Amino acid sequence: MAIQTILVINKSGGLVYQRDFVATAPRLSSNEYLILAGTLQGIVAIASQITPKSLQIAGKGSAKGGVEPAGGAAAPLVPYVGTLGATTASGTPMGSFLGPDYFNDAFASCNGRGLKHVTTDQNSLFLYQTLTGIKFVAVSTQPTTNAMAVAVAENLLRKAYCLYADYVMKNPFYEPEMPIKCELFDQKLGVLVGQL
Amino acid sequence: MSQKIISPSTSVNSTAHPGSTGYDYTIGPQQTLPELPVSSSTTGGGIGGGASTAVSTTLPLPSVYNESLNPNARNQHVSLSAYAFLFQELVSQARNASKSVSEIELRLHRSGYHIGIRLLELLNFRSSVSAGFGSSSSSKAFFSKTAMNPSGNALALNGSLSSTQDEPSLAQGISHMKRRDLKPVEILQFIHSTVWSYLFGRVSDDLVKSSERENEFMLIDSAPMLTQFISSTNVQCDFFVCGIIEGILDSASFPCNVTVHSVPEPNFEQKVVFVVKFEPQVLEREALRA
Amino acid sequence: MSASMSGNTASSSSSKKSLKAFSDDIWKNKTAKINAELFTLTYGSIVSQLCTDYERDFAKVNKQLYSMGYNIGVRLIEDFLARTALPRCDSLAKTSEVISKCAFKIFLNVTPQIGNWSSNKDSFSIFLDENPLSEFVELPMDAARELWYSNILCGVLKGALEMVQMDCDVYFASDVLKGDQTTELRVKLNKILKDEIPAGED
Repeated sequence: MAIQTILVINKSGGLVYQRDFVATAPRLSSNEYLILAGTLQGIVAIASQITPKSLQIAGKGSAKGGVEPAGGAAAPLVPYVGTLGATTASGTPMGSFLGPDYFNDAFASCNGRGLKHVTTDQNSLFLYQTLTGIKFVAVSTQPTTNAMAVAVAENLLRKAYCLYADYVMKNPFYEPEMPIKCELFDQKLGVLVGQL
Repeated sequence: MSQKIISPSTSVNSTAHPGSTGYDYTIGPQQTLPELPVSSSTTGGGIGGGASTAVSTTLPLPSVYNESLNPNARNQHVSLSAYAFLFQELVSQARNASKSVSEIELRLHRSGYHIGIRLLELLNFRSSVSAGFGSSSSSKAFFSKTAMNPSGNALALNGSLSSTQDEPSLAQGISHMKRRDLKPVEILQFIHSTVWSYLFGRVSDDLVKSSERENEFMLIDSAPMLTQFISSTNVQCDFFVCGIIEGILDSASFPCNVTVHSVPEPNFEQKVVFVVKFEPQVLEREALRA
Repeated sequence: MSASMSGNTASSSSSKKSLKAFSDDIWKNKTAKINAELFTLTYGSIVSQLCTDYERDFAKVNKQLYSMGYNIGVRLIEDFLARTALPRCDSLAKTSEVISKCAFKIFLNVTPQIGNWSSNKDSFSIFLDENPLSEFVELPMDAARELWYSNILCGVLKGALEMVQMDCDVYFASDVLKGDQTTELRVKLNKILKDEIPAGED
């Protein structure tokens, strides 16, 4: 499974970042990407509405809901998706998140009822939403419903969030909520995805 | 207008006592070696004597200075993130208040300068204290304040006395003071090693003399710490560090001009070179000394 | 929402780590650090510059520090959440615990005390025994009356809490720099901005 595209959607549903990692990725026009971002924003909201009441009551915290009840809530396994903070081959440290693998503990997703995962015959789309409402979206080149793949994607997106915290939030020239144009974020995200 | 007035510090006791370590313009220059045993007893007396006023009971005066001067009690850290956010906001503020790129850089330079002029004497003093001295007292957290009981004067008095007795005076750890750096190369070495280690936890990557101009030296940092999260723009945020360097050199009587230039290399894309350009008088002085 | 925050973030071996151990681990092993004095000096440089810029009008300086803090807070929260991945707190008590044991710990390496809860549990105080911002600081007499030297902290908390949809008032109640016995930060929750909680959360 390779990552084809990564998107970042701000809390009001605007697309602030889009990058393709595969040369063969089908090109959408920037307008289409904006529509995709807005649509995802809407679907996340609707998905949370349509979760059956019984599930909500029975499995608080375990109801994954949404379009695809992906993975299993009890899957504590955290796959390795490459380093974030450890020094790279060139010896330059990568940001403020240290350790060979930043996340070695399982984590609970707070996105209990919203959309997390969409699969078509060709692709899968993974979505990670932060408490502040930012959405990190990855599109893979192959379809998958495998719990492992979902866990890999979630870990990857969480690391993308770490890079966002370092190279976007700590950049004084970035205006919150605006499109991200940070060379270093591009570069580090490329390294992260390249490690997969 | 009011900033022209030198305001006396609140925490300096109004009753003059020789143990006071802050400069009080109403008293004038005083013995400032920290915590000489002779004065410490009078310090205690001073605090106890002035204890009827609210201000004087609150602060254990000497510890701030004593602890900050002790090189072995200063290994505290905060997270790089916390610093990066503060720095980010410093740059944003400079950017909002400025009309041009050079003005932003000038503001950053000025902020750094204020830090530089404070560092020269401090770091020189600390490197004079012999290694390992007072490491027993360094086990005490650097940030922790001597516990004082403000309600009971007698207790406060005892507290301050015992605290000064527990810690040996720093003066005992100094066999000789580090000599002042007189040559440009010496002071630059000091910045390259001592200052860089203090600020960034490692020495700078290189110190070179310009082959073209007599008065130019270059300090090289292949991975500048403070600006590592900032994607390159036309604004050079490392001017803050230029300010620190210039502040140190200025207060050491090496008037100069420090600028920074980005020289990206493969694997070291954020590499910067700080160019120190001494004023002609520094070279003239050198010529006279030789 | 989530039943137990520390439980959820505990390791896969399902050993329940306390919030304190969890934060200590992040601080010790997973966080890049920098000399605290450089931090203190840089903040000092900022405050003294503001005092000059505003001609020692300390009310304005307080306001400016607060707004700088707010700008930092709305950014810093992302770092905090990325770093800890803690779920939403289900009570203000939990929030206060996370602020003191986790946030202050992993950013400033201090653990302030929480106390002085109001009777209806909507406000509390943070007692800063140690404050890396104001280390080595003595206020000149004119500043001691009005200036809240560490006011940037209020802004940071305000901004960060607002980003996780909590509308709070944050202000200093006392400061040892002014001759008070304690440094006390007061946090009052006005309301939870329910409409802004991202869809999908329980």
